[in-house]
Amino acid sequence: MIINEKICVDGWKKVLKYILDEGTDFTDTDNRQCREVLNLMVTIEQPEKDHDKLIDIMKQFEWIYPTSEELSTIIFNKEDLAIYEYSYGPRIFNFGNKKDQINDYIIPLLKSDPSSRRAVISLFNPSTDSDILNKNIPSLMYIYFKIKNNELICTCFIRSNDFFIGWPGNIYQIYLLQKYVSDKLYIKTGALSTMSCSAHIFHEHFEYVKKII
Amino acid sequence: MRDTENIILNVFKNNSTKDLSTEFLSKKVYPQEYSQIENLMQSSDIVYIHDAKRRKFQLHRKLLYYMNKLIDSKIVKITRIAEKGEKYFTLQTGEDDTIIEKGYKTVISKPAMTSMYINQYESRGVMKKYEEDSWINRLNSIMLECAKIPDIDRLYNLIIECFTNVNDVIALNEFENILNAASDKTLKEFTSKIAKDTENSEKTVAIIINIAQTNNNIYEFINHYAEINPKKMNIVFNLSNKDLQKHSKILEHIIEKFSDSKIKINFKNNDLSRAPYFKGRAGIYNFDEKDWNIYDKKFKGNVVGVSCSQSQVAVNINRFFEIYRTDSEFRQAILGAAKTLLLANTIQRRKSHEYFRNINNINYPNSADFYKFSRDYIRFWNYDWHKDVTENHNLFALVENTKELVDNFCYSEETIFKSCGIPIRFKIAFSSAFRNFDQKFMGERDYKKFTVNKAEDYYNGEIKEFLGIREKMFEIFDGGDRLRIFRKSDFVIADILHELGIIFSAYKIPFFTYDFSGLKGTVKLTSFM
Repeated sequence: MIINEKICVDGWKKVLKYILDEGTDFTDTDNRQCREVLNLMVTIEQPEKDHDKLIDIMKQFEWIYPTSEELSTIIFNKEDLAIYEYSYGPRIFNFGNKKDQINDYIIPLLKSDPSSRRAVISLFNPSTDSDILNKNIPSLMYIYFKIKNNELICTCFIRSNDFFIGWPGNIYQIYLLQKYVSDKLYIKTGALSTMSCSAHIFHEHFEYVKKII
Repeated sequence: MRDTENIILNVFKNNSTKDLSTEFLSKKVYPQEYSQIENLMQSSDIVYIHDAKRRKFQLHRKLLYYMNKLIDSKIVKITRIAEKGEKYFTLQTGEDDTIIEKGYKTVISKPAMTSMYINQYESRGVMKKYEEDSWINRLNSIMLECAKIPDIDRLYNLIIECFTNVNDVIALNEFENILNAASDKTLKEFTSKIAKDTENSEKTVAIIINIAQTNNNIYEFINHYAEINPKKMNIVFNLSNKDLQKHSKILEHIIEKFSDSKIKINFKNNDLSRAPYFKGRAGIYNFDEKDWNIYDKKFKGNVVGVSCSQSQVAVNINRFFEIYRTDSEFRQAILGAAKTLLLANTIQRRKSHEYFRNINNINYPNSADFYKFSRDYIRFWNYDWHKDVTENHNLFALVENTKELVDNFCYSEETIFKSCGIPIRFKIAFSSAFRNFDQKFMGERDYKKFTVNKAEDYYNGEIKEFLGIREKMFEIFDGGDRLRIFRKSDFVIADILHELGIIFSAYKIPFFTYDFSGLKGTVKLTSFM
């Protein structure tokens, strides 16, 4: 399934409705009831317009949603904080304590070869994540950058994506990264796409989802 | 920045949320001068007293000169002027501010305002954060794995290093590894030093010993421990029902020495719980059984220490229901406490590099393993479970369904944060509180003391019913609980062993304490021998 929308809020609502209407139910390993759609692609044409809006919506509910500051820190902080099992920042900016995938690879690559199709970063580390006992591995696995019509477009691959509570945070974080790279390349941000292998909603959140859509 | 200003800031650093008086500050900033003044004040000679007052006035003036500079720099502000014109000051900085001045760097961490969900309960005296000034930037309890620590000197140094990061207790798991290898002399020195250090630092050290794994060194260790009777240390003896008979000689020795010195003896029943239990000032701590199984399989042997509890709050149940009436209000209040703990954890995560630098080095390079099994605690005080069994059933049900609510909240938050790429662990355990959590807040104890005079008491209907309720409490309090048995009347050691046998085999009480404080005279082995 492919969904295209101009702004994040519209894309989000459309997908939530699609999962509710067309998804299939299953019970996950923690015994929670989910409804999921496999291989769902969403493209937001102008994420810059409202990439932070969904977080505000999530804050209206009774739970505590991570702050924009924490969401941003997690993607940009290259230090491996002991209190997290893993963190996106170190995987992006200091993979295996060796590689700054953005500043030492993506930016120089796209500067030297703007039409490159090799601008991909990995947040998945098979040497630590491919472990049967390890349940805490990143959901966001790869991010692909491409310059098209002098705009930086971004596509990411998410293996497991709670579309109701997770996607608002994901889209915010990925857009910040897209903006960071585009600023360094002196170009505008373009479309942002997410490819979710399992796009799902937990049954316990159906009520909230219905309120939103 | 001048030295004096820096000293003043360091005083505020340790009292970041308080109003400090001119006198208090003078005392801390000019300790020598102040102590001379105090000596003069003691004098019976009026001339000396006048001189002391004059010097005190001068000292205050001197301090105020620097205080005014800090006020001008918008670092501190006057909060009030008390009688006789004495000024009070507080930090003007916001939460977690860093003050950097010429050549010096003074970092002052002011606890963030995490109280928004429990403000009303705190102000009405029904809820209380543990050690409010350090409730975020210190952990409540950690456990060190003695099997991974090469020798007793390294263990001592580690404990001292950890004191700055802990606000309640450091547990020493499988202490027999140290006990069996060290000489009597080094063990004595270690125990004496820790006894002193814990008193000086207001921290607790809990020693966990698996009786079945000990060698003969334990006899001398127990003798010395009973002799010095440390105020801020405790020992938990782990054993199974089988060990009771197999190691009865050691137990006799412990009972004899500890009961003579009126030291409480803590037992953990290994048949009922594999996870360690230990005692702090706030209450009992333990690890979740399922978590412990994972720890045992995957982490044990690779880590030197683990965090057990990060932050905690206590609820005074009786006072709560004097003010609020409904179950729904109770659930809301506890959910508020859970949200507060989540906010506290968020700040801890953000500042973990600063707050827990020492701790993060303990398991290096596997630093993240330190926090993998940690929880937060909500503790309950004065809940009168014993008074009316029928009423208690209602309270059981209320606490049980509140626990379910809190567990769901924790699970949802973990999912939310994980979905956003923030893989947090957020678990809240329920447990009872000790009065020492905060004596002023707790007020008087309103519990029925469980007193035993002889083994037959355990077959008494009323006591059986009481213990049945306590068994239920152990099920509800997933963060651990403690049955305290006040042992009265004369006994021979065989009596106590017999009683232990009954508790171990007939009741599902994983952790209990024999308290001999009500005993008169000393215990004899004679009739047993």
